[in-house]
Amino acid sequence: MAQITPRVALIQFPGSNCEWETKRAAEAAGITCDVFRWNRDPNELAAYDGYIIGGGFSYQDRVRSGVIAAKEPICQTVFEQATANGKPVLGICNGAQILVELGLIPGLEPGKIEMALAPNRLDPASRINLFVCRWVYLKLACPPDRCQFTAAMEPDFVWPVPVAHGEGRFTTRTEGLIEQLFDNQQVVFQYCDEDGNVIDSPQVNPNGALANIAGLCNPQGNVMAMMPHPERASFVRQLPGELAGEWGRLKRDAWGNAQAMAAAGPGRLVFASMREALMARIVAA
Amino acid sequence: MQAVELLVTLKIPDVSALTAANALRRRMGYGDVLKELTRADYYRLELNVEDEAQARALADEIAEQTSLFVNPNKNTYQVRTAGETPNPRQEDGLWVIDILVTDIEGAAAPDLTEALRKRLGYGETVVEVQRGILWSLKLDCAGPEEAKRLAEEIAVTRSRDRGLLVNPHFQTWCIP
Repeated sequence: MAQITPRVALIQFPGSNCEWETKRAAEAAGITCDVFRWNRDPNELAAYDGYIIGGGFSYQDRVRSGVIAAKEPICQTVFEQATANGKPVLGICNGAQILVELGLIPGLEPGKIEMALAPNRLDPASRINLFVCRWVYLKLACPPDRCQFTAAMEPDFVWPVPVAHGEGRFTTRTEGLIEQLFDNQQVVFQYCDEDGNVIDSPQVNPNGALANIAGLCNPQGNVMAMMPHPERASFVRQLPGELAGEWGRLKRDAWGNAQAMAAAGPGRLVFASMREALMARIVAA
Repeated sequence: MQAVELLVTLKIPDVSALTAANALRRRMGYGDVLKELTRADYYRLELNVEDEAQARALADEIAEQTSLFVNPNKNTYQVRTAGETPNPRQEDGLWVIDILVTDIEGAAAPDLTEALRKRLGYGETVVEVQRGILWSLKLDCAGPEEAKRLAEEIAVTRSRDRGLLVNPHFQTWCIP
């Protein structure tokens, strides 16, 4: 019997720049991943089991990050497949910005714009909103099985991952929304220190996001938007040796050993979880 | 104390405005209504001078000599006072309406204020600089009230298929 492999479309907009490394990370987790250009017939998307919208600067971030891409017909189809058919959708960085502008995240009323990924908080020294590009730590803030992108993680999992964005601050003017998201366990990842302490300081929370939010899912758990880049932490070779703890030690121990360098990094768990969810849907069908 | 507005535009077509206009016309159903969309970098300079003439002269000097707001190789600029330009206004049988968009937490521009006051030596003459984006919509509509209604509808992003220019969760807007 032929082995079944889930197949996802990785949406490529003009200005996307992470599609190939995201494809490599997804395929390392056992997902067949097709780079799907934004101007192809959106009806072709229905044949895929799920979708990934990766990082970059779609439409050069014109007007504001993600908003122009969110108006494209292809996003309408992703919206319908996620809401009507429950297909998994993962948005990373610019993909997260697109999902927020599409009204899929947080998705209490799908289609309604309930939040923003605003410019990073003002840097007190330079008094400008800085682009942040560095490694941070995330803590799994919901039960692993709450969301289709975290099932392979341990409860309270703390992991290192890089961020690279200028507009990554989850914020809202909807009163009580953040509390509601915590009550619903839709807050998937929070920025924390290496010991898992959620502290609102510029060192820990790189963009000033409300409640240190780094990733959110929709109420159904089949759509997740996260600002950090799990595809850049999917292989041990991608991790900096200076990292504290287990992951840094793994990288230092792997020095000079190609096989050890190709082993899974912590970001692989996002894609492995997505594969589990995709397989469960395929088996159920 | 006098306040003047400095509007800085590109000499070449502004790709952000073109992209936004394209999305509004082709994706969001405003093809018959929205005839043109332009944008300008907007600065409001609060200056410690005695009258409007002095304020305009100082704003011209700042625009032309500091290289802080205007790059003469690629920009043109206009200095005006608040209320000087009717909004909305009629042009060629269409209604033009300006919408000013600012970040809720970032309308004040302390970096620019400090650069003018300290590095460039204007001292206490410069009280404060604020910044935003001024969008100008040229609309084929019945009158000024319709123009205001349409401008808000086009500007404020309330859902995936409604509004584009402002995300009200971190930005604010007004018709100045």
